[in-house]
Amino acid sequence: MSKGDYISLIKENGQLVFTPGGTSMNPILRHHQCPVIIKAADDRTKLKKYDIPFYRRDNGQFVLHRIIGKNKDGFICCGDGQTAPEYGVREDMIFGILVGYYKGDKYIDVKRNTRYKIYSRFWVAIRPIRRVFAKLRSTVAGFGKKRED
Amino acid sequence: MKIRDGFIVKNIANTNVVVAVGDATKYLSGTITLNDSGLLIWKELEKGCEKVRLIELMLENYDTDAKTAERDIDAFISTLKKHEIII
Repeated sequence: MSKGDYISLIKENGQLVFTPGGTSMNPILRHHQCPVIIKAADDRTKLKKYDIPFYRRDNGQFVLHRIIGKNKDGFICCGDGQTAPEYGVREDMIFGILVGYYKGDKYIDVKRNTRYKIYSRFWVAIRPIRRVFAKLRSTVAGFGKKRED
Repeated sequence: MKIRDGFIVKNIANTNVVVAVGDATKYLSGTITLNDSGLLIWKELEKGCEKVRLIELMLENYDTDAKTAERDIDAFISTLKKHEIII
């Protein structure tokens, strides 16, 4: 099944289940380890901060990142494993919203799981601090590499 | 015949859905939905078995004949083989 089929599947079935790859949503969605359930977004879907929409960028890439804000250009999104925000995520780019995922055998309902809700708010709140640490890490790694050279 | 490691069945909104995790995602990027008989066969294939056992299972659990059971099982196994889910 090609990734282009994601949209037709979600429109036909009202939901989509798959195991996403990548590290941009670490620590909650590990590369190819955590099946997710995406519910189709429609006109009644009211997306808000901390939600995780499933969207397709203008370059065709499918993304599952968290909403951290909104401005006149659309939603501002950022992967939990990243610190740089993505601006301009428009409603017409969004096909679904994450409603739950599996961590091993345990199902995490993002609307009902208290620990998840606390995590998501905390993780977004400390993004500026995470950004500082990420820059520090890459500076130290770069310094280490220079010394090796 | 046996289900390859990395394929798991989850019950989502009263539907049995097969998803791939880890290395198995290279064989299946989406999902396969199982009905009740599909789930029964799947559970047996998870343990490893031959087709004859699957036919027996269908005859034990459903009001069907051996020829129909074999035809349905062949179709199901063919789908699983197409996605390299069975080894």
